[in-house]
Amino acid sequence: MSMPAWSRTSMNRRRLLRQTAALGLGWAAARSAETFLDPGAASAASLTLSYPSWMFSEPSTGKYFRDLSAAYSQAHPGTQVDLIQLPAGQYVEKIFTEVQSGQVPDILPLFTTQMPQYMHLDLLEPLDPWLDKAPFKNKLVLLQRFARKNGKNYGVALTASPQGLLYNQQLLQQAGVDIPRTLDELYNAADKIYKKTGVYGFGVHVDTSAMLLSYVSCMQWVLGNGGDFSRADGTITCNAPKTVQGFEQMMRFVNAPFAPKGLGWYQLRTMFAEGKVAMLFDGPWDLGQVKTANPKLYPFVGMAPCPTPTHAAITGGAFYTILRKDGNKQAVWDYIALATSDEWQQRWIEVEVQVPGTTLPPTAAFLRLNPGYRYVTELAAKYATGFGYLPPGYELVATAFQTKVIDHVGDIWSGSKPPKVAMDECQRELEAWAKTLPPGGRS
Amino acid sequence: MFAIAMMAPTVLWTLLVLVYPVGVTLRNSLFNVGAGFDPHPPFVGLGNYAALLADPIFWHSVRVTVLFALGNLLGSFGLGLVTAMLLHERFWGRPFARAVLLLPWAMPQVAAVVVWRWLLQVQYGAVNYVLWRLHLVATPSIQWLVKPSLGLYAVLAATVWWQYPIATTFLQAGIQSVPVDLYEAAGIDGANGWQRFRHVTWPGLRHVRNILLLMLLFWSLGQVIIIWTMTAGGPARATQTLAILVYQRAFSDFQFGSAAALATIVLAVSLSIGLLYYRLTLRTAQEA
Repeated sequence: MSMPAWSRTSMNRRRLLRQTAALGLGWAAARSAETFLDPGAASAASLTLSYPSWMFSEPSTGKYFRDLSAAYSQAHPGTQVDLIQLPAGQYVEKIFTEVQSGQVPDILPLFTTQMPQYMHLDLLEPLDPWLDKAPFKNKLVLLQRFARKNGKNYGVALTASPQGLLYNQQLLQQAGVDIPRTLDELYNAADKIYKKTGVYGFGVHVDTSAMLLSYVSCMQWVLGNGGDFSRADGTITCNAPKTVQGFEQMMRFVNAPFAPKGLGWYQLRTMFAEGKVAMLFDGPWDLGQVKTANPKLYPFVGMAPCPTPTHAAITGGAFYTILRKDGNKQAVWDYIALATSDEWQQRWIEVEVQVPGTTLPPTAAFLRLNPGYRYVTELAAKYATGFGYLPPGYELVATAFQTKVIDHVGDIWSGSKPPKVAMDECQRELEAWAKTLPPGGRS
Repeated sequence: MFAIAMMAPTVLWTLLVLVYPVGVTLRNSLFNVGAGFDPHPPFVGLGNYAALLADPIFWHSVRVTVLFALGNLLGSFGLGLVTAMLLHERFWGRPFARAVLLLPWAMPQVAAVVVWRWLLQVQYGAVNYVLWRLHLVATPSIQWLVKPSLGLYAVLAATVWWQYPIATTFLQAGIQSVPVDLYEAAGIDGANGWQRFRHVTWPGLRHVRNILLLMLLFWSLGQVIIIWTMTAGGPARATQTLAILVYQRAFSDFQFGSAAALATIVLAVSLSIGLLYYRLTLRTAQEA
C-alpha cells in the first residue's frame, strides 16, 4: 500500500524539521563543550567596539581605518572594531539622534561643529586622566581648544584641515599663467585656461541640498573678504558690507563662462581629480583623492593660499570622543591612543595625505614626492580661521543658523535675488530667530 | 478567549510602534523640548502650536505642501490613467510593457533621486539637452535644482515618475472590472473613443479613482525621502513641505517640542484623510 502524496510531503517536512533541530542542538552542544574546555574562548572574542564614521567609504581613509582597526585587534586579542559607515551629509543629525535615543557608540568621532553642543549637554567623558599620561599631550594641534571646556579636554583632535586653492599645474602651464594670488588674477587665470585648453578654469560648489558644504563654500568667500555671518557677541552680520561683497565676488565666479554650473563638491572633486577642472577652493583631502584616482596627475597638483583678500583658510576638523555612558572607556582610549601615536599619525599624513591631529611634521622625503602638500602646514599656521565652520556666538545652534543662511543663499546662487537683498532678508530672519533663543542657548 | 490570545501580539505590537510614539509626540508638543531631552521640560500648553501658526515659515510650508500634493495627484493620476488606458488595449508585447512600466516604482527612492539629479543637471543633464534639441528652450542651461522657482517642478517630476506606476496598476484593475458589454452597447449606440471613455470608463472607475486619489494625497503628505535626498527642502525653501519642516525642526534646529506640534498637525490632516479613505472603502464594500 503506497502512502498518499500529502502524507509523503508531511513526512519529509517532519524529517527536515527533526534534522534541523538535531543540527542546531549539535552545534549548541559543540559550542558549550568548546567554552567548557577553553573558558577564555568566549570572553576573548566578546568585546566589539562600535565605531560609526563618515570616513570609511572614502578611498584612502577607508583603508586607513580598516588597517588601524586590524592593528588594534592584533594588539588587543579578542577585541574587534565594528566600522559603521554613515553618510557624511547626514552624520550630524544621525549620530545625535542615536545618542539621544540612548544608543552608545564606543568610538565616537565628532565634527568640530558638534563639540560645543555635546559638551554643553554633558554627554562626553573628560579625557584628561588618560591624556595627562599620553605622549602626544603636548603635540595636539591648535584646533584642540575646541574640545576644551572649563579646563577639561573632551576630545582628541583627529584631523584639522585648512582649505586653500587647489590647482592643476599642468593646466596653468598650458595656459601660461602663474598660481593666482588675488581674485582678479584667479579670474584671469581661469578664463585663460578655459579659452586655451577648453577645460573649466575654476569650480564653485552651488548645491544647496548639501547644507553644510554650501555653508563652507560661502565661508570661503565671505571670510575671505573679511566678513562673517555673526560676531562672538551674537551680533548678526549677514548684511554687513564685507559679507555682501564676499557674495558678490563669489557670484562673479559662479556666473563666469569658465565655471561648470550647478555642481556640488563631490562632482567638482571628481572633475578636478580627472583634470576636468583646473582650480578649486577646497581641502587637502582632494590631494588624497587625486593620488588614489589619478596617480599620473598627482605630481602636478598643488595647494596654495586662497587668493581672497584675507586668504582665509576655512578649517574643518574632527575629534575622537568617548560618551559618558560608554561601558568600554579604557578600550576606546587604547584605540584613540593608537590612532594618535606617531606611527599612525605619520601614516595619516604620508600614505593617506591627510592633515593629522598632532603637530607631527611631514618628512622631507614625503614633501619631495608630494609637492601639493607643501603649503598645507603653512596654511594651517598662517591663515586658519572659521574653525569647525561654527558661526561665532551661535556655536550651540550652529546647524539651525547655517540652515537659515543657506535658505537665503539659494536665492543668490540662482540669481533670483541680488546678494544685498537676500542677505538683508537673512539678517532679519536671523535676528528674529536669535531673540527666541533662551538665555545661554546659543553660545 | 482564543481570539483575544491570537490577536494579542498584533495589538501589543501596534501599541508599541504606533500608539506609544504618537502619545509621546502629543505629549512633547505641549512642552518646550529641546536638545538634551530634559526629563522635565517646561510645560508650554498650546504655545508650540500658537508659535507655529504665527510663523511665516509654517505657512510657506503649508503652501508648498498643497502645491506638491496637487502636482503629485494630477501628475501621478493623469500619467497613471493614460498608461492604464494604453495597457488596456491589445498590442504585441503588452505583458512586457506592463512589467517595464512598473520598474520606476520597484526602484528604491534614493536610487531614483540619483538618476533624476543627473537627468536635471544643468550642463550634463539629459532633460536640458532634450528640451534644447526640441527648440523648447534657447540654451540648455536651465538650473532645475538651483533656481527656487523650478525646485518644486524638479521634485515633482521625480516623485510622479516614481509613483505613477502604482496609479497605473490601480486604474488598470479598475478598467478591467468595467463590464465589456457596456463598451459593446456604447459601440452599437455609435459612441466614439472619447465618448466611451467619458460615459463608460470614467464612471466605472469611480471607486478605484476616489481611493487612489486619497492614497496619493496621503503619500504626498508623508513624502520625505525623495524631497530630502534631492533638495533637502531647498533651494531657498522652495521644496520645504510640512514633512520636511518637521524633520528640520527636529534634527537641524533640535526644537523637538515645535517639531512634535508640527507633526501633530500633519497627523491630524493625515488622520482626516485616513478616515475619509476608510469611509470610502467601507461604502465601496457595501455597494459591492
